[in-house]
Amino acid sequence: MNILQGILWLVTSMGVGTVIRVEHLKKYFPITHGFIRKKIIWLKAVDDVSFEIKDGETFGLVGESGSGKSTTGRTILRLYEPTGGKVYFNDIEVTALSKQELKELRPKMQIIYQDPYSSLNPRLTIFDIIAEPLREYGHENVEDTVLELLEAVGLSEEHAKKYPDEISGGQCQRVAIARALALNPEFLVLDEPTSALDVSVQAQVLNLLGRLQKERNLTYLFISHDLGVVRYLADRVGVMYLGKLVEIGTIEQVFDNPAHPYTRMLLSSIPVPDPKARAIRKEKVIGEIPSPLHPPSGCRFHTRCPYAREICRKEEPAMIELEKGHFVRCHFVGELQ
Amino acid sequence: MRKEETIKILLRNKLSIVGLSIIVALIIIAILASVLAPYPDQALGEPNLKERLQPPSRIHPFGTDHLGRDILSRVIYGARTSLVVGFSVVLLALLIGVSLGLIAGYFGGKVDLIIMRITDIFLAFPPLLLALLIATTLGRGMLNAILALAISWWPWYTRLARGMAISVKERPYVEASRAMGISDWKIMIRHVLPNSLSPIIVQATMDMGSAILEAAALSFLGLGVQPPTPDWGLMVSEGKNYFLNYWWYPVFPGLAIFITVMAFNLLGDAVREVIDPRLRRRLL
Repeated sequence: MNILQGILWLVTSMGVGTVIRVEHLKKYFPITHGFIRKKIIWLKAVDDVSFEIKDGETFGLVGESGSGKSTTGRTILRLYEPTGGKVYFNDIEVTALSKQELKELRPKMQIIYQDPYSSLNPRLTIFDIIAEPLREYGHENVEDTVLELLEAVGLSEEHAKKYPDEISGGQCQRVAIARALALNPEFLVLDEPTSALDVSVQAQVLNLLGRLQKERNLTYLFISHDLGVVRYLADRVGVMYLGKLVEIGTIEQVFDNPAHPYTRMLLSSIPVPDPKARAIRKEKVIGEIPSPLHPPSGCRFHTRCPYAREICRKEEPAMIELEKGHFVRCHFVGELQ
Repeated sequence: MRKEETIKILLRNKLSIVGLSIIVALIIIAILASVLAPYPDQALGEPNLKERLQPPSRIHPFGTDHLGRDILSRVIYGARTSLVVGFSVVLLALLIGVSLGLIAGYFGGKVDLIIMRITDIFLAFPPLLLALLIATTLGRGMLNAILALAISWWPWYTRLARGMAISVKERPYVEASRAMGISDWKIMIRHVLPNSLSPIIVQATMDMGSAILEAAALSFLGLGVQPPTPDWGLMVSEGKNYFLNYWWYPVFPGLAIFITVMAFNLLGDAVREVIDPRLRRRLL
């Protein structure tokens, strides 16, 4: 582990480079049918996904429900064991670590969940919830640290004695953030952290996350189906469809110049508070996401794509670099511009 | 869970107050048996042949038995036996059943398969029959009766605990703990167990009555507590021979069993109302 820590220190002290590198990540869930003669169908939740997240950056991951965004986040943290592919954290291959090594790396990578209430154990006080990781890793001054963390997320000492069902959803989410920060992580997976909150509270939590990122030099993987929120917080964004990344780029590249028909469809579904603007919107959202148990052949989007042709049904398109850092998976990238 | 709320709900339901009062009274009677019983020596078995089979009177409110012993005193002492047996059976069954159920539900896979198949084997027997079988094998006596009942009882808690563990382990706070690198055993004890307990506690409270009833049944059949220990089941068993002419002999210990079992069932209902958050909200 000393070597690992050495490498970690070296990489972080240089303050450059990639915090998370995901290479051809796959996560298939077996779905079994029958009792005696088992038939297994594989649900390909994440199928060959590759991307990088740079130090201090927020990488947004968007897509409809069932596109595999949350599974990607969990598999990166090895909360799910990947079926294939590799994940690197600061050049440490997370996917190759033993259980013990993984435990030592865990403090560096944390996760925040969508539902603030169910991410906190209802039988523990706020103090015990935040203290749990500290005690696990033998920190001294647990009490002072918990109070500092509460303050850092905008809560006070009086919340410490309460139970989760005695505080609001927004406050619960702050507690979850405090718990995630307890071990001084470098990388946080934010799995729809604001989707379950009221709009006014959403903004507060987003601002808190933004502030903490600057103060503590955190790197975020921000998973959301809310494109407005992603645009607000993320630096770069990846669009997922049925377990595949279909477009990656900076916020400007993807939002101002979307190249994949699916991205265009998603973007045109953002409500615009201007009735006249409606006429400008081109793409309509057609149909629903197909079952990931039986994904369409070729390009997975062809069943809903207004531009689909013969080749889309047969061949899966490759990732093409449109301009520097802007990748698209479509046969007709150039033509659709 | 807030204490005032809990008390409020418990007191709202009149039947639950009845159940709770009876059980509190029983516990007090069991503790103070030597003070409350008019004839403690007879309760513990000393015969008093001059006053055999006396009907209820001022001196002997519940009458006397075939050895002239005061039935009231023996019923009072019998509360001790019944409560000790009831608590021990349920506690022991909980200990075995809940730990196995949690392990099966939390780890899943082969561990689950093995534990649950063993559980199924135990569940395949009619409960009292299995207890009879074990009691016969182990031999007579109170301790063996407790063991026999607990062994036939734990599979129910295993099922319940397993089901709860399966649903609780999917909750985000459990995954969050895994993300923090906390070991499976600690997660099981700190997060899964406390959040699985509610229905198990309800079940256990209700089972207390059934455990007392089955222990009485074992005593009645001669496999449980042995004379001259004061025990309700045993008294009913001995009294049945005198039932036609001396009705008070089996009736009073029988009533004691009936009231105790009913009280635990009423309390079980009340505990469920307190613990189940949906029922709780409706009642507040």
